[in-house]
Amino acid sequence: MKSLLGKLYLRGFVSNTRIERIWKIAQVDFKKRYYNDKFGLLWALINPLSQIALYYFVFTRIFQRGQDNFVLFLFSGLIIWLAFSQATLLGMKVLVNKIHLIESVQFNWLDLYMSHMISILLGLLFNIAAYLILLFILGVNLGGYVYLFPVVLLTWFFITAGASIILGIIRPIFEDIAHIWSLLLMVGFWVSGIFFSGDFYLSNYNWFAYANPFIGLLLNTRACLLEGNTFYPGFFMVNLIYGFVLYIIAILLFKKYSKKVLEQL
Amino acid sequence: MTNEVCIEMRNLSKTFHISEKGFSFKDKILDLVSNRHKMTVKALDNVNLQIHKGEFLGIIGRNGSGKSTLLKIILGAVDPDRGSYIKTRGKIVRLALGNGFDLNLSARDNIYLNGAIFGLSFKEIGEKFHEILHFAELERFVNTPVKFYSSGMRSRLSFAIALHVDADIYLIDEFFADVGDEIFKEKSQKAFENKILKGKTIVHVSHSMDTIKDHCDKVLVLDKGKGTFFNDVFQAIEMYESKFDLRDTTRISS
Repeated sequence: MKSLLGKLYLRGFVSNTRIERIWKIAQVDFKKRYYNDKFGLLWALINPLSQIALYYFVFTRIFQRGQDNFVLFLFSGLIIWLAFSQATLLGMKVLVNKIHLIESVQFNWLDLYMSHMISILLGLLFNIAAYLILLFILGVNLGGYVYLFPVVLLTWFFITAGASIILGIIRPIFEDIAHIWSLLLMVGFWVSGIFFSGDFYLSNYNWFAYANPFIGLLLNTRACLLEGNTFYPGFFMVNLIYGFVLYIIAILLFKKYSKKVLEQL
Repeated sequence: MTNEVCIEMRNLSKTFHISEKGFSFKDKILDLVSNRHKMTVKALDNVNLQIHKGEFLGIIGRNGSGKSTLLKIILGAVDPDRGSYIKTRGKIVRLALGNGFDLNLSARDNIYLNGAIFGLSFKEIGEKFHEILHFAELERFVNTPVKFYSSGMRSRLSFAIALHVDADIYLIDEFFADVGDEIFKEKSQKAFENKILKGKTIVHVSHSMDTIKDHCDKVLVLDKGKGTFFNDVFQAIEMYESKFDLRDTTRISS
């Protein structure tokens, strides 16, 4: 596995050095995060699996939730949320951590964020593969909308990339944002429908379901990855708009302020 | 050397606003919206310069005189103040020993990472890989994380990678200061002259007057951000040494 991932690059598709550079930085980031350690890629699994085991125990044994396939329900929500959380927390430090590259050669600095997102996506895909194995072991089917999963993931990508870029610009000039963001992530973790179905909000707090893109994102992820869940086209469209708008704002802010921010490093 | 201008700057200035941070939350909020805690530092003050293709410019000056800021502005990593004019032509790389290394990665990974950063394709890096390792004399340590290397080993690897980078303008920051032992220094000087010097435009920041005398066509002397440009290298060194009274402490070969 290690050597396969070490050598993995898009040999057939890559012809220009910019794509190769983006891929190399992503590959190195991913490698550093996981398989430089003794247990290597296992950590990519151990972290979400241990959280799932803990929450599963708490919700099924202590709170006695009797929902079918609750472990898969939890798994599908948690991996999407954890990838967002990891992407934004690490994304805050992209410029700081890569200053040595920025000061070595001329290139589009947004490529660093592209590499960052690819590296996070690799981890997410690894967890999705683990989810699929669990699905198979438990004999449960994928959702009826699984063919829409790539576009659902695309909305996740734009929202996450946009948030990471904006946080990356803010952090060097306002370091407290790291603490504020951790607090927001903690709140988001409990209110975005990871432990319960987001359709709870449809009857009670409809506005909140539209205000928090992760409620729709998790509902639609489960419609794709777990049988018996409904797909919500309205949430999908809203999230697509959220994602594009956030990403465009992030790029505009980055182009305007990135050099000023670098002066603070 | 040709008549084609590679780097041109007019009235180039750079002012930094350095925050003197307060500790309370209120201070931090006020810092964001006002300049009340900000100190102004003029790093570069009306620098004028014109470098042609193939020329070798030396930049000398004491620590804090604005040398690194000038290199960052030429590279495009820092914007100059409004009203400044700068134009560059061609691909620019900045070479500084150890720059761009990730200490947790092996030499193999760092060669690929640095090669990719400097614009080499994976194919090109693959072709040059063994040559780089051989030049750096690090074949035995190819899979060892760079954090376990001595400073000399890191410098050799850094230099070996830099030799294979192709650019139009090289910004060289104290590159020969700690390149290794005397044998390697001699080998690297030779390789530098054969591979990089030919036809390339070079801006070299150095505290070594020997390096400046050996290679440079022109010199910019920086003092507290103000630049004085010399077409005559010896005149520049003379001015620099007399101004800072360095005659007794600087090594000068006759």
